[in-house]
Amino acid sequence: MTDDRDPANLTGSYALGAVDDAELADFEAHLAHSQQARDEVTELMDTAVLLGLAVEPVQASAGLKQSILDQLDAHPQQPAAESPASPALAKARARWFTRPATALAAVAAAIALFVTGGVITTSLQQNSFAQQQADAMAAISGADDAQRATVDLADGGTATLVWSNELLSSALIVDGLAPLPADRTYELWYINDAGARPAGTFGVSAAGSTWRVLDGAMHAGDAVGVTVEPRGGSQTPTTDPVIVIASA
Amino acid sequence: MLDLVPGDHDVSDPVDETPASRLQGLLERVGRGDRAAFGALYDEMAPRVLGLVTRLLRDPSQSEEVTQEIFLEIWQSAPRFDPNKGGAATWILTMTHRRAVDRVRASQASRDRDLKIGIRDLDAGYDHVAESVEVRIEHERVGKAMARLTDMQRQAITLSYYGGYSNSEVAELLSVPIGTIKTRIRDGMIRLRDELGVAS
Repeated sequence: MTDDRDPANLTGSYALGAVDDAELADFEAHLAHSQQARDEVTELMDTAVLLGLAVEPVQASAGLKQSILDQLDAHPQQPAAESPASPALAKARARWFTRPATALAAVAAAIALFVTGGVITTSLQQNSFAQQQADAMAAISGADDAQRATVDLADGGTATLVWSNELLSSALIVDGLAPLPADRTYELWYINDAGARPAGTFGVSAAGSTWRVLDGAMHAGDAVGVTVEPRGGSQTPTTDPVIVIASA
Repeated sequence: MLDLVPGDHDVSDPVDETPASRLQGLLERVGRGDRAAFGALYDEMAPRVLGLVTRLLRDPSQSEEVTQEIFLEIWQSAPRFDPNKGGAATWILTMTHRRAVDRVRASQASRDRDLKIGIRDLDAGYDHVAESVEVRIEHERVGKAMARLTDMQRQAITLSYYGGYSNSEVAELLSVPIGTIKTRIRDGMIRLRDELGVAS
């Protein structure tokens, strides 16, 4: 019998849109660092589409098409996604991360944890913070020069830094990091000889796993640190770091 | 990547064009603001979209309303469709299912949905032979694959995909631990994938 809470067991449910909201964020965190899970989800989503195509078609009433056409003017099209800036970025836009609709919406839901503490179940907000995060994560993970380093946390969890010097960016994936009280937040820092530069804040779910692309440009050789700060973050660290990962 | 089995379509199409590439071409034109292409895409896909939505929502007028929302979303987000990431039919059907599930879970009526609706067999919706041969073949292929699942797997997958129930709802409906439901669904979907020859 598989563990009830083992995210690896959720690939089929995810493909069917059946993962409960409360579990979606943790499953997305799992997807973010499991290529095997991403591959399985992609195949099972394609399988689910066959279930959809097997349903008997239904003819719409005569006026539906015109009704839709009449509303196009009131529904402007979204701008196309910017074209990939480099082969690394093109490769980064790998199938899973940039799959439209559910996969990306679910990634957005994972990240919404940081922003609202809730879960997005409606359609994806284009150009949202969440989508920028998902796009950036995809770019880093797929970069030709992507590297990663993992450290163990004091409480038994792990933190993994994924970075690309070519893209000047990095993302932190944490698993087993303790949730904080409402008036505190985790804050990310790029650290080098010149000091610590703030790189965004994040919270974690009850299960302690999530991920976040850092704000700002990473300089080659920067270390990445995480401190606990008052809600809203600080300009300079006010506590000792709970995580430090060197990128060189 | 999935091919869409076509309905009747324009004789003006190049003969060597596959249904999938034709659909993809349409969607790409829609992404550039081509309203004629949008009309053609609607003609091709509306019965599929409405069929799936109706399967989940049952109510005809609500299903048409959701179908309208879906096509407006297709229009709005088509510029972001990238064929390198998956087929046009997959893009549209995935969006369709997500929208239908959102609606079914949001409506109060859905909370009272009869379990019997959810656990109907795949075949149960068919009172007559599907109109086109292509659809019937597709249906039979999936039906055969579904028949290879255990009853438990088929029930869990049917409730989830065609009923729009979440894992915890399925677990409650069937009085089975949620972990068991997840396992049945995953094992069943992997079996379906293999039976249907889906590979990425």
